[in-house]
Amino acid sequence: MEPQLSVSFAAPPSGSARLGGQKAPNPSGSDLSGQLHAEYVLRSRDLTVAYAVKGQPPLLAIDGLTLGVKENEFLVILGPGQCGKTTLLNCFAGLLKPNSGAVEFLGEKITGPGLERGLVFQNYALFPWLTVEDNIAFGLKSRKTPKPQRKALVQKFIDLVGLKGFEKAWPETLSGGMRQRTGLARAYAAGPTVLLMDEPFGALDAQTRYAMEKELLAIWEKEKRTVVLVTNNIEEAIFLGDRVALLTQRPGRLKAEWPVDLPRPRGYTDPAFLAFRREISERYDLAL
Amino acid sequence: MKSSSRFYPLVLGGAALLAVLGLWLIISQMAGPKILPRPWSILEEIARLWRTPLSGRPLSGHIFFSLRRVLAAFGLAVLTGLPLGLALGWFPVFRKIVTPIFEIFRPIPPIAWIPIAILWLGVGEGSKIFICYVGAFIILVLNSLAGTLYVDRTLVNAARVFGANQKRLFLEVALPAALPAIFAGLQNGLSMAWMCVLAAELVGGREGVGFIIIQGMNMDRVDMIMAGMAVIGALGAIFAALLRVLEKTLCPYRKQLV
Repeated sequence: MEPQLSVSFAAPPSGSARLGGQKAPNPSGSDLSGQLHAEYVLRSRDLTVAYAVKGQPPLLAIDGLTLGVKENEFLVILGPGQCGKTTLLNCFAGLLKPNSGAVEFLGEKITGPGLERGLVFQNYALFPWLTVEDNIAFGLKSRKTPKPQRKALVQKFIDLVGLKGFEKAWPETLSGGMRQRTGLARAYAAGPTVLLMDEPFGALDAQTRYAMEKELLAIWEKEKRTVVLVTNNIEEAIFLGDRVALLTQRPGRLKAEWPVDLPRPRGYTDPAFLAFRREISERYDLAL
Repeated sequence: MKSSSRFYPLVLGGAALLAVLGLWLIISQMAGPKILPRPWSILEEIARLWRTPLSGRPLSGHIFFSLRRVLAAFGLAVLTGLPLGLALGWFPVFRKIVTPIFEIFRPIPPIAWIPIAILWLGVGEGSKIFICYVGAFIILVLNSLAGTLYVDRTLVNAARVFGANQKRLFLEVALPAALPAIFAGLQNGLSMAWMCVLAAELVGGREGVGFIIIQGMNMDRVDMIMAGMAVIGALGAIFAALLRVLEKTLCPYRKQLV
C-alpha cells in the first residue's frame, strides 16, 4: 500500500529551526479557544519520517520538523528536490505515518486521510474511467451529499475553475492545465478546511503555469481556504504565499521562513517582487 | 501519401492477402488438390457439411455441440476465476495463502488433464467441459489478479484522501482499473477454451467441430479438415469481436486504444 516505513527509527536530536515553540494551548479558556486552539489549523511537531531501504540504514526524509499553518493562510513550502516536501504533505494528508513526532489537525493527531484535508496531486491522479464531473463529485459521494446538492456543488466548482463545457470529458482527453483544474475542483468540492497541493503546476509549461498560479489565487480569494502548497520554484513561492517556509536538502529541516508582505496582485516582473526575490536568493544562496 | 494515406494500409493489406491467395493457388496447382485444396473447395466443403449430415448431424449440429461446451466451460471459468483472481489481487493475506497451491497447478497444460478427466468423468460432456474450464480458469485468475494487484497506488491514495471506504476503493477504483486486464484475460481465456475443446473432441466423441477435423484426417480429406479449421477460426473471431464490443461499452474512456 504505502511506502514501507521502518517502525522503530529513533529520532535524532533536533537542532533544526523551530516555528514559534508554543506549548499546546489551554483548552479551558473558552473565550480564547477560537484564537488559541485554532491558531494552527494544521501543524507538524518534531516530525521525523524515514523510509526503509533494503540492505541500508533507513533513509531520513524529514528530521524534527515543526511547522504550522494558520486559518486561511496560504503557506508555501519551498525546497529543492528530495527535501521531503511531498513526504510532509503525505503526512498532513494522512497517507503516511510519522516515525516520531506528530501531525495535527486543529490540535488533534492525524491518524489517516480525512475529507477536511483535500489533496491536489502533482500528477493529477484523476480517475481515468470517470468523467470530469464524476471525478469532481468523488468526495461529495463520500460525504453522502444528496444528489441534487451534489450536482449543484459540482457545477459550481466546474464553473469556478473554468471547465464549463467539459463536464462529460474524459481526463485523458484534457491538457495538463485542464487536468489540474479538475484536480483542484475535485479537492475544493470535497469541502476541505485545508487544501494540500503537491507541486500542482510542476508538470506544466511556464506559460500555463503562470496562468494557473494567477487563477489559483483568484479562486482562493473567492473561496478562502487554508492552503499548504509545496514547490521547488522560488518565484512561485513568492507569487503565491502569505508565508514561505524554506526546507533544507535531505533530510528536510526548517531552514528559514518569512512572510511575503507584497500586496496582491503580484507580478513576476514588479520591481518590488524582483527585489524581494533577489534579497531572498542572496540571503539563502538559492538558485531555485 | 498525403490524402490517400488513410487508404494506404488498406491497399497494403489487400495486396498481401492477394499475394497469399496467389501463392496458395500455385502450390495447390503444383501439389494437387488432394494435398492442398483450392480456397473455394473449402467453401464448397463447408456448404456440403451444412447440408449432408456427418455421423448423423449437419455442420450446425456439430457447431452447436462445440459451442455449448466452450460456453459452458467459459461461463463457469468467468463465474469462478474472476472473483478468485480479484480477491487474490485485493487481499494480500489471501494471496499469500493461495499462491503456493495455485502455483502447483498453473504450469500444467490444460490438455494434460484430458486422460484424467476421461477416467474421472467419462468420455461424455463432463470431461470435455472440464478441460476447457481448466484452460480458461487459469488465464482468467492470472489476468484479474494482475489487474487488481497493479492498480496505480496514486489513484488508491487519491480515493482514500477523498473519503472512499474499502467497498468504494474496490468497486470504484480497483475494479475499473483492472477492467482492461480482465478483458485481455477474457479474450485469452476464450481462445484457450476453443483450443481445449478441439483437443478434447480430437481425443474422443462423435460430435463437434473437432470431430469433423479428425474425420477428415481419417478419410484423407484435406478439404474437410480445412473446412473444420475455417469454422473454428470464424467462431473464434466472432466471439472476440463480441468481447471487444462489450469492452468498448464498459470502458468508453479507452477509445483511443481500441
